[in-house]
Amino acid sequence: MAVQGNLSEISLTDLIQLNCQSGMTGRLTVSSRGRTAQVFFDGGVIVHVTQGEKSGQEVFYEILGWDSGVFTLESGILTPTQTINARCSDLLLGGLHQLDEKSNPKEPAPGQLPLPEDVGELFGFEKSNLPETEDLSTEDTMAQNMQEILMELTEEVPGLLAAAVVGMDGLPVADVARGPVNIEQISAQMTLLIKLVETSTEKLDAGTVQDYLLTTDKAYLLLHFLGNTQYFLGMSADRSKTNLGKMRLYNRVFAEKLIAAMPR
Amino acid sequence: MAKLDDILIDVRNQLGSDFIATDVVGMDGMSIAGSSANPDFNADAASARFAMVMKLATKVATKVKMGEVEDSLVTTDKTYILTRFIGDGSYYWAITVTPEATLGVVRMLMDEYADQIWDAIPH
Repeated sequence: MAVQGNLSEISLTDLIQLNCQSGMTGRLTVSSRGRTAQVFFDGGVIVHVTQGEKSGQEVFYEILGWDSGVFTLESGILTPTQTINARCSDLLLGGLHQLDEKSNPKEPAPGQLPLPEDVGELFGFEKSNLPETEDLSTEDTMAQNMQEILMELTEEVPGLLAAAVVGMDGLPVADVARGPVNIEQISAQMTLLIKLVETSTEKLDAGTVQDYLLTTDKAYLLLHFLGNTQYFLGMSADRSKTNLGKMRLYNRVFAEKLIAAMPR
Repeated sequence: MAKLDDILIDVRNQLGSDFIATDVVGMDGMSIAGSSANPDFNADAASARFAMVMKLATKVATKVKMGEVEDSLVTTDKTYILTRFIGDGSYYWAITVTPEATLGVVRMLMDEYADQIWDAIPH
């Protein structure tokens, strides 16, 4: 089923962000001023963008600047090829920076606001993907510390696929992953699950949840609350390559480190 | 179903004083067999709640392409709650033990008895 709309009702950036977060597989066709582009999603990851003869990441950055036109969203259509291998959040952030540089190399044009410094928070990106600045805020430093701790974690746990610090609002604060994964989608799904587990144990008077382990035929997913905070550490590891005992041990150890890195 | 009850009694005996409760539950959230060391334990509520958890876990695993759910473990300050799908996945088996229980042993017991439990359910 196709959904059609106008870019005057929703911006292309918001539309792409929504498709990424919902884990969409399909095609977004955008037409603006005689030009037509197609963006292909696979499980919420942008895998291919094409406009005429051109394709790839640069085309994606170019079309992000289209502020008028119409779009058609068709789910279930698979990409004919893959020309992009980057996370949705990275692509959008890169595109926004390019747009900002093109339209406003130094000073904001009259009536145009500069890209907010906390753009990362607005889109649920991890701050470590933001360009480094001389004057880091406390929150920036916190996110960088967490990112470093997660990087250390990947070196300790064999078979680790991804790890993230996620708020109970479902947004990741910091994350690391081996290969392209839709961390926003995974974070949101993990949050849904741990919220239900928390509610269930509370209603059954079974105590305060410390962690939750899900085992599938392929992987382990371990979610560990970071103390009394509204955040948890989520880790996913390849079951054939990891050791569950070691994974739980490092999960506890690194949870303590992350708690210490959080602002009080 | 007497065979199923016998198996659960056997499991309970092996867990000794660490045992809190066990239930074999359909994915409709209804327990078909179980026992508890605590007479106040609300098996109906626990069965229904964790059927919801197992269903959501399955949906999440599918959505994030993690594969087919086998089991889950909730660790709280009071308990370990282990749940695992049995047979064709139309039932799950839950065991609740104290935090003093040896987790590896409980997981091993569940591995050992899962097939027997499935065989004991009329289907």
